[in-house]
Amino acid sequence: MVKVENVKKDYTVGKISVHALRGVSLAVDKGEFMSIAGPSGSGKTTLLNLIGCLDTATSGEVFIDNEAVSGKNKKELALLRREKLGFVFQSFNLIPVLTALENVSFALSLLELDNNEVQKRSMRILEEVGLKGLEKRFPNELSGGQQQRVAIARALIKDPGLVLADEPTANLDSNTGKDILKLMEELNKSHKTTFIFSTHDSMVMDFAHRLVLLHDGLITRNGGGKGGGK
Amino acid sequence: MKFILTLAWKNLSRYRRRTIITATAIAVGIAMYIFVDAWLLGIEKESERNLIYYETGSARIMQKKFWEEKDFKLVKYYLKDPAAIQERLRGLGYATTQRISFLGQISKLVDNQGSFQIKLAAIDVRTDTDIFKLNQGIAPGDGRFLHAGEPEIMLGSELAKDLDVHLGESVLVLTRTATGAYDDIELTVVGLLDTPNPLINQGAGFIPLDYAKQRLQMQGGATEVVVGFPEWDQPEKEMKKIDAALAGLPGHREWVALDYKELASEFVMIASAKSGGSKIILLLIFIIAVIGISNTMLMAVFERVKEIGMMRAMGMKDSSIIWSFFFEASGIGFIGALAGLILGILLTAYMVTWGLDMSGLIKGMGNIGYRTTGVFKAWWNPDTMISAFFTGIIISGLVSFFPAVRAVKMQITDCLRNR
Repeated sequence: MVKVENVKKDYTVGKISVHALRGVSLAVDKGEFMSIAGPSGSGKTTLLNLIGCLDTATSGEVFIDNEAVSGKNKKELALLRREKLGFVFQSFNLIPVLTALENVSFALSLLELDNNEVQKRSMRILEEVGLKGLEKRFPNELSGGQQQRVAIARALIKDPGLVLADEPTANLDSNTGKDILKLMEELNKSHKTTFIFSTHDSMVMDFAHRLVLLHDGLITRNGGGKGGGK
Repeated sequence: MKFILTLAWKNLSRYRRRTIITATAIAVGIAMYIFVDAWLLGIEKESERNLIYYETGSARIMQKKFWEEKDFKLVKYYLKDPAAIQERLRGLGYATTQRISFLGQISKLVDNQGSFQIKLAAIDVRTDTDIFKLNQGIAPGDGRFLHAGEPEIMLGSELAKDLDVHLGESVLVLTRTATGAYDDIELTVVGLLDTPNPLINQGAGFIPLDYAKQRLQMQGGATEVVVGFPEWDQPEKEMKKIDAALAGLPGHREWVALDYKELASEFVMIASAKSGGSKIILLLIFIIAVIGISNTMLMAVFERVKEIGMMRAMGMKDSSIIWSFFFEASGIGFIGALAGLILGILLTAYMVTWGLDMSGLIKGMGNIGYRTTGVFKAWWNPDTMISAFFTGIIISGLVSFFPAVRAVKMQITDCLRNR
C-alpha cells in the first residue's frame, strides 16, 4: 500500500538547516492500523505529510500503491489525494459554514458524483460514526469528539485506501480520545482501510496494531503494539 | 461547480455582518458614483440648454469678418440682406430671427456713479421668442418685454443693481455705429432679467432691433441671423443642411454659419475640462469602494488559510478554491451594487425632480463657467447606472483573485500550520 524508501527531508528555517527526516524506510500493508509515535520534533508530522503527498522529500522516494509520487505534478498529486487518501487533522479542520452533512458530502462532491448518491452515502457514514440526528448541526454546535467524528466520516466517505490522522486525539479529553480511537479501529476492520496516525501519547500508542517510533528523524523501533511488529 | 457556489453562498450568509458592512461600502460608493455623475451631467445639460436659449441660439450666420473680430463686435461687418437668409431657412422649417450684437459703455443717465462695458443685443421683438427665452426671465414686478421701435432696454438684474438703476429710469449707452461714428443712445429700462444664465444677469442688455437699426445706421441689415433647431439634434447634421441652403444666396462666400458649440467654444472647452476633473472625482469614489472590498476579501482569505489548506489536502483543485472566493466576493459585490443602484436611483430621482438650490453660493462666486444658476438638477444617465452596477460586481470578484491566488501558492503544510 505505502512504501517509503530512504526518505530525507531538510528544512531551512531562516539560516538554519533542519534535518527533519534523516533516511526513513517503511512499508505499510493494506488494512494496517499503525501509529507513528515519538516526541515533538521527531519528524512524525513530516513523515505523515510526505506519505499524504502534502509535501515533497528532499531525497528518497514514497510509493502509494506502487506508484512513485516524486515525479507527479501538483494536479496529479491533488488527484491522487482526492481518490486514494483521507485526512484527519488534530484540530478537525471542518468548514465552519457547512453543516455536518455538508462537511462530509464536500469530500464526495470533489469526485463529482450524483447528488442523490452523495446524500445517501453521507447520511450512511454519519450514522456509522454515531452522528445520526446531528447531520444538520454546524461545527460550533458539536462537541470536540463529535467534530472529530465528522472529520473521520469525511475522510472515509470516499472509501480511500489510506487514512492519515495527525494526532487525532490531541485536542480531546482522554475518554473522548479513546472513543475516537475505538471508532477508527472499528472502521479499519469494517472498511479494510489502512490507518496511519501520529501521536506522542502512550494511551494512543496502545491502540495501534503496529507501532513505529521516531526519534530525531530516524526510526528507532518498528514493531510492537497490539498487532506485533514488522 | 455546485459545491463551489454553495460554499460561496454559505460564506456570504454565514458572515452576515462582514457581508453587510462591505456591501454597504460598495453601495455607498456606487450610489455616490451614480448620483454625482447624474448631477454633473445635469449641470452640463442645463448649462448647454441655457447657453442655447439665452446666448447663442442653435446656430448663427454672420459675416466672416464679424466672427474673426468677435471680441470687438464691430457692427460695420453686418449682413446686408438678413431677410433673404431667413426666408431661405424658413423654407427648411427652421425658426429664425435677426440680431445685432455690439458692445457699449453703459451708465446711469442721472446721478451717474460710473460706467461698465457690456454686451448688447438688438432683438427682433416679434421673432426672438421663437428661439430665445428671454421673456421667461422677467419675473412679475420686474417690468416687461421690449416693445418694437421704442428707445428702451432690458437689463440683467445684477447689472442693474451694479448700475443702481431701477425700472423706468434711463441709461446712456455709448457705442459705435456701422459707419464708425460714436453715438450716445438714451434708453429707458423697461425690464430686469433674472434668467438661469448668470452671464445674462451679470452683463447683458437688450434693445429693440428696429430702433437699433436706425440708431446704428445698419440700413436694414443685422450682424447675425440666428437659427433655432431642436437642441438635442446633432448640430453637425443640421449645419450641413444650413450650409447647403445658403450656398445659392448672393454674398454667401462672405458668411460663416456656426453651431452653438463653435460659437461658445470657450464654454465647451471649460465644460470638457470640468468633465475631466469630475471623472477623477468619480474615479476616486470608485477606488474607495474597491479598497473596501479588497480589504474584506484579503481578510476573508487569510483568516481561512487553514481551511484552504484542508480543502487542498482533500484534493480540491486550486482553481476551484479561487473560484469559490471569486463567487463569494461577486456575491457581496452584487448585493452592494444592487443596493447602490437603488440608492443612486432614489437620490438621482430627487435631484431630477427637485434639484438642489445653490443660488446663494453661485451668486457670491461670480462667473463659474457653467451657464446655470439657482437650482442644480440632475440628469438621468442609464449608461452610468448599468456600467456602475456591473463594474461593481466584476471588480468585487476580481479583487478576490489576488489574495486567493497567493493563498493557493502557499505550501499545503504551511496552510495547515496557520493559526
